[in-house]
Amino acid sequence: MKRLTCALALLTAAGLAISARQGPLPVRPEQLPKAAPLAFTPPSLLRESLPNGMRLILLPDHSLPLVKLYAIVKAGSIYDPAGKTGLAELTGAALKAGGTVKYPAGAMEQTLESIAAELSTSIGEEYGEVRLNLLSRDLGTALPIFAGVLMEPAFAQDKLEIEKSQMEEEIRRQNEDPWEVSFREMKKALYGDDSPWARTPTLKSVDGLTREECEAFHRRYFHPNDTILAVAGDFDPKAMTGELQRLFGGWRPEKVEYPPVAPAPERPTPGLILMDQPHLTQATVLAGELTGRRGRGARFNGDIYALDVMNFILGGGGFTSTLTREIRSSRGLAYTAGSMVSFGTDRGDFVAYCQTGLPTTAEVCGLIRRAVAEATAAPPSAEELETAKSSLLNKFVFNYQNSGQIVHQAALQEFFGYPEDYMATYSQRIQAVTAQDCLAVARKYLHPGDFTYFVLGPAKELAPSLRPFGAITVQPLPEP
Amino acid sequence: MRKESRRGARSWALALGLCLAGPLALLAAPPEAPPPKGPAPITVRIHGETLKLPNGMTFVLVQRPGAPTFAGYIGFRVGGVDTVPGDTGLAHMFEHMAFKGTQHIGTTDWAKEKPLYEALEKAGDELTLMRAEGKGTPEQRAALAEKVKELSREEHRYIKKDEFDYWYTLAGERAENASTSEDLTQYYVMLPSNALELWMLMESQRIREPVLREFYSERSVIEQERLMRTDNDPMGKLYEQFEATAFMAHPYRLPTIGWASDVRALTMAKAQAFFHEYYSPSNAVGVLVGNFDVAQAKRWIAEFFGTIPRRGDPPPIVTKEPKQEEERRIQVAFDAHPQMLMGWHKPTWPSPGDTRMDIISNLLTDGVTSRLYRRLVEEDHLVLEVQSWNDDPGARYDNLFVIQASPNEGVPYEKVEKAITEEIDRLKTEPVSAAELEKAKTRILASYLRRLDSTLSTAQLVGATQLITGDWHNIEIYLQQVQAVTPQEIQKTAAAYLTTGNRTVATLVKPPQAGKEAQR
Repeated sequence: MKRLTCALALLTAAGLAISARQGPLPVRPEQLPKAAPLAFTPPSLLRESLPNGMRLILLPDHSLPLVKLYAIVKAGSIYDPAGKTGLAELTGAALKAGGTVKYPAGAMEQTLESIAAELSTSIGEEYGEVRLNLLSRDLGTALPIFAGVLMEPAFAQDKLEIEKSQMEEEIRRQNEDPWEVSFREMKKALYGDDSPWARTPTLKSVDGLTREECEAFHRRYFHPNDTILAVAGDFDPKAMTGELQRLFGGWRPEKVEYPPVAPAPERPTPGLILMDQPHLTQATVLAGELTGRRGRGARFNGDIYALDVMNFILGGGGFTSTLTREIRSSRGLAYTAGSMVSFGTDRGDFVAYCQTGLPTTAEVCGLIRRAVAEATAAPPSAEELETAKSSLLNKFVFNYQNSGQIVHQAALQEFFGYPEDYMATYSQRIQAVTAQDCLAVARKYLHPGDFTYFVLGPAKELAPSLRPFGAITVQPLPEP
Repeated sequence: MRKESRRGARSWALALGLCLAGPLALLAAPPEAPPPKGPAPITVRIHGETLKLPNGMTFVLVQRPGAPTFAGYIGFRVGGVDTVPGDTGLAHMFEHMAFKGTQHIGTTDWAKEKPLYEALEKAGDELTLMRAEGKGTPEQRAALAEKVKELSREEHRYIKKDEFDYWYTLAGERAENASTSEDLTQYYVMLPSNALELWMLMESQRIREPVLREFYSERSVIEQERLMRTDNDPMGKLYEQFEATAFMAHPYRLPTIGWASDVRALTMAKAQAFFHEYYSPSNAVGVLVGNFDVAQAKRWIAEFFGTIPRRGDPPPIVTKEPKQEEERRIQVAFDAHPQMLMGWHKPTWPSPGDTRMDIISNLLTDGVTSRLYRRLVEEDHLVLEVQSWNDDPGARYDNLFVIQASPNEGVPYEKVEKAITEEIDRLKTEPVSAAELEKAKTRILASYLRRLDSTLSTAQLVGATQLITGDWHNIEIYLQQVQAVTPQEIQKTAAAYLTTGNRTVATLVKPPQAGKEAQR
């Protein structure tokens, strides 16, 4: 009965609505009134520093009874000593797994899991991260543990051994996913096998790692003056700052000497690496080269805006991009095709990617080369430019969708030295990009004649058709 | 894009497992009772409004403050389970086709395109059937293939490629995608709030009058997708054969992506018939979550969706899986490291066994203090990882509880299986402690609460629950049931379903040649 009433009410509403619209129902987007501009003021972040130099970014948000914390610390695998590849990664995993001085691993896990608090730790290329997502009612229980993990992890030997054997098992399985293999090995092809930006742990390098080394790695790099702590969610900012000062106030700052990091090569060796995996019935194709430096603060590389627009048109914009259209939509040669581009602290890279059937592998390589060559030969059309810019501008609001994401992003931008007004001026900068700007950055950073190609698949079957793409080096899958 | 979930939609209950915040609080502390000591209860509550259109379509509107964006979701109660041998993959194929446009979108001139489209359908379908049935001479096939090529070249003169994506991209979409599981087909996107009317227009057209242009090249894309997800992926291959072994009669045994030969044999005629059978508004649910004007949304829903004619109801699935009375085992050959799957048949929600199995799953593998993680990873060093999930491969019908484990190098499957079996027996013989049970309940509740932190996952939760159980409010009922589960019920459920005779075990083994190659 209730249902019926509801349906009737809606019928009435429908009737009213139809009479409200003048003329027939639109059937094409052009027939809709132009979308009204979005009225939106981004939330303002509270930024503070503790006396010991730890920087805080806070954003209260009471929509759900949750709190999210992210600590970003300058420590990464690029600082792994030679022969110790995997040290940063193991230290990152063991930060949580090994417990802290005050909370032994077992008790810590029991406490956190019984209140459904999610703590995770990791150390990547350039920074380490400690994350905590908890119910706000449990702040008093979980915050001290979070602080302990950052300041005084215990690296319990038995837990460390488990993390180590997990890492070794992952390494043994590292050749099973074609995408994973290809992106990993492509990096090596671009930066060099032993480059800090490309090398990956091996069974041998992990086997030699010790608890003392993890401890030393933490001691060397984890300090409040190199830490940004971002907090979002259901809390009172004043009380939170006070609590953080209480927990972290005793953490002493220290100047860190970072070891030199070997620079990326000026130019990768062009040619085609064909990695042999005889049983595959589909080939993974990557093609690309190194780009430029991101730069910090006043020296931030402003090419990024035109580069983003250019790559959106080339291969970053999904179905509207040239690569997806040419490879997937028009020819049905692949399920996934596209490209990505970035600047880096040292160098960044451009990589176009695709997975396709064996007989069409060479055709896909040719389509990628042609699409990139076209991007460097002529500016995009007015329509392509408009689509790319509108899309980037319109989706910008999604940077503000979730309070946790907002502070996390702000912390990373601060870490990487983005200009302070980066978010505030982003739309304006994208709006200003012209077709000529796209052509200029394409010419500056992309050289399809000198691309490095990486193909994973059965070498015997693929090699003959791939000759046009440069000198072929056939390689076996790397030993774990 | 266009992902097909390997595990199917993790069933509404599991999906739910991620997200609820509601009246559980009330349950835990009725208003007349004195406030309990200890932490404030977790409440998982979604404030939504349900609309029923005269054509049978259901909409749920969830308005919330925040950035001016919304998640839009349209789901249909149709998936891999609704196809039959010979047509497997059809639901997923249709999902791909639903992005190809309509009589107004994706074409420069439908009047001119239409005759070509129809001629192409005739020739393409004829060629498809000829190949599938092994009929016709090579010359006849070649001639027909040439004709198909020519017609599609001509039709392309009128096609506006990927226009669906074009407009969403232009508007600033985030996460536009679709998925097909055994149970459901779902289309979703996040857009800035000023694109709400655009969403109404595009999604309603998709249901009203889709045109299946570029059918045959899209079929090739799906063949590539199958190669990627199943044939070249050890876990994909293991999973497909595991399901086909655990289910003998029920169509849950059929892969959603389709058997390779079935996919090659799909025709436009079949796809059209499928649309008319399953894409009635009465078989659909729309959900909007975000910061939008509700009154305006209602008007537009009535205009754009309320005017779509109702079609018939889809045929019911009457097959029931016969009771499994003996253990089934299968070895799947793939040159990769060991993986195993163990599955047990059990009923779907609203059977109380289903809710209790969610708790069992949580006790066994959720977190580093879970029983199987402790035992297999930390204490005995047997596996790299162990996971479990309930409602596999779907939740519309009775289904499986599944445990997946990846044995460490040199550890035989038997050892892993023995340890898992011992832990399962412990569930039957020892009542779970109050603290451990409370932990599992808290974790399920918190996972639902966290799902509400995203507009899209909230929309998916509400939509899938509405489609599978008939009422999205069952989210709250389910969470109340979770709260009420007792240690004795856990024991009873484990004893009833987690038995040897009721289980299927699939393991990955190296093919004989792989060994030889390695020796060379």
